[in-house]
Amino acid sequence: MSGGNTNQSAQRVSTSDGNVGVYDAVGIDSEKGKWFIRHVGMSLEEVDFVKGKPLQLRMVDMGPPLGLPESASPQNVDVVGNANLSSDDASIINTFICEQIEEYKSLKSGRKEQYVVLPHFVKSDSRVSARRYSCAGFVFECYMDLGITLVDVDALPNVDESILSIVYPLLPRILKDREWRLHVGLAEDGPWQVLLPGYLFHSLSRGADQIRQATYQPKPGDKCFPIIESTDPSASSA
Amino acid sequence: MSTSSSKGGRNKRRSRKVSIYGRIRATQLIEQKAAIPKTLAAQAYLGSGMRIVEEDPAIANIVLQSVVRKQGQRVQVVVADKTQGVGAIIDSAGRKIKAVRVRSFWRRAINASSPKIADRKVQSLRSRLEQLVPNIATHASGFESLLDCLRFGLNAPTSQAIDAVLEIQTTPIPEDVLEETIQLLVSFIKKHRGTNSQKLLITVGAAIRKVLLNLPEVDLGFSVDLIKSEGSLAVPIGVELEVAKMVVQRVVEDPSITASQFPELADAMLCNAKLYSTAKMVNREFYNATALNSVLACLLMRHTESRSLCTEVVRYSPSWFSRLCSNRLKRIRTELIAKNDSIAQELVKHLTSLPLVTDGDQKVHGGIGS
Repeated sequence: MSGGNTNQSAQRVSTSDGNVGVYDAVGIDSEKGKWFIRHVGMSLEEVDFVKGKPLQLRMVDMGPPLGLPESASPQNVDVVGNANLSSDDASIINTFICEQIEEYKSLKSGRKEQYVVLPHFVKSDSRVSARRYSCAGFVFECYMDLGITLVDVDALPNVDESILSIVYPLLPRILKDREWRLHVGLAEDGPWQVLLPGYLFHSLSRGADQIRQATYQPKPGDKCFPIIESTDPSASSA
Repeated sequence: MSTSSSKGGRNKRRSRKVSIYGRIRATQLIEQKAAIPKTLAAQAYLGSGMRIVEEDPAIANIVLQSVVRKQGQRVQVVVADKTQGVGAIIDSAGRKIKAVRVRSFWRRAINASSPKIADRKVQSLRSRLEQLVPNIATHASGFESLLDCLRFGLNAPTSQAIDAVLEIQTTPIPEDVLEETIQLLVSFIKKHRGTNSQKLLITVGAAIRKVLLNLPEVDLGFSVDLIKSEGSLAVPIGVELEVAKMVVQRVVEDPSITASQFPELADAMLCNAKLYSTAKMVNREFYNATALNSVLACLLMRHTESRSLCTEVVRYSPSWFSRLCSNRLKRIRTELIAKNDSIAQELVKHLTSLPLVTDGDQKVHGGIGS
């Protein structure tokens, strides 16, 4: 980890005490890989947590469907990342959520319709008049409004089907369905440059100053946080 | 005894699965039609409680108009009255010859727990209709069926009409019904934009997005009608938000759109931008996003008051809001630069000259007004 801030700004709940604030990024592990983060959202609560004790909190996240603040129920969280957000930052994120919350309510009946894997965000158009995000894309775009580019999305590592199916357990089914593949952006065969949730936590682990000043270049091993060297020979330290 | 009871039980089971507006069973209707085929329309009237504008004894005027599968779970069957202009004219082979407007029809929804059951119900309904009416033809046309639902629920929106709008928002509009679809959605928006129902308002928002993203550019000025107050109607903030968002998106897509082409729309955006970006309003939910998009719409359309609006925002809005405007404008500017065409570059030049873009960073780091 690098950066001038001595506070750890991304950490595992299982390995340290800490605090999570409103709109901080919160991640959930996959059961299929150690420290492999399969999902990310933003906390709706400010909570202190104790090393090794389970952390449950409400979040706004792109499930799908989009978890709405008024109906969010507590979820177990494994990793948290904060960018030292101010109350002004919170007002900006609140505006971002207000701007599109009604779009998602209108898509609630069709969960699939809300989601895209690649790219991480698709604007509404004359065909589908609502925006679509991946879970990481939702957090990434939200932080863009703060002027924070968490990750260089033009230089993402390639991920193959075996990796992507950890994030998306339905991937084998998606890949068999031409229409579904097209919809989520995986029409071409892999590997794909997908924005994975883990990348955001590596970006957020750099310290508050650096998070705002520089864009993080994710590495192949960054799907896990922290990187597990032994399971991924191609991974290098963040 | 036992036979009769068993038959009754079957009917009972069937009636639970099939509903017509939650009151009448489609199968019952067909049975009534079988009994008195020549007055099918009249029977439909008696069965459903709906008004028949013109009763026609010619049974061929009643057609099973369309069959639509919705999300693989529910199948809808539309029975339409050809005397009043059905959704389609069909040839003897069941092929659609021509789409026509529908003014009056009966819609029958078959709810089935699985596509298989739905298929059986549809097949049964279709074959019985075909037995009753030798020259009847059936066809499947998903989008027209959605429009039928919308037409029927235009005044008193049924759940089918709401579902239809929500489905239309994620469905490409066929070219041949584009104009008609926009007209129907606009009627829906105008009739229901003042509603107190949250669900209906969300549907109105979906309709606004669909209309404004499909409206030909020359008609874009029409969008101001959607946010105009009429009589005692207070236009909900959600409606103003969706309109402002779509105006921004249209201008980013087509940077040739300017305030001089659509002065009334640009003025409406300016009015909302000034009103909602004040410190008193902009901290409220939905007003914040409406203020943001109204400001962006004005600046992107190159309203003559762009510069003074920027100055007002920088001076009087909370610092977070001008920072957000600045961040968004910079992102849009980057997007426009990537377009690499002369019209986009003109807009880039305009944006770069605005105080909100040039002063944004200064304010974030403790400059003006913080």
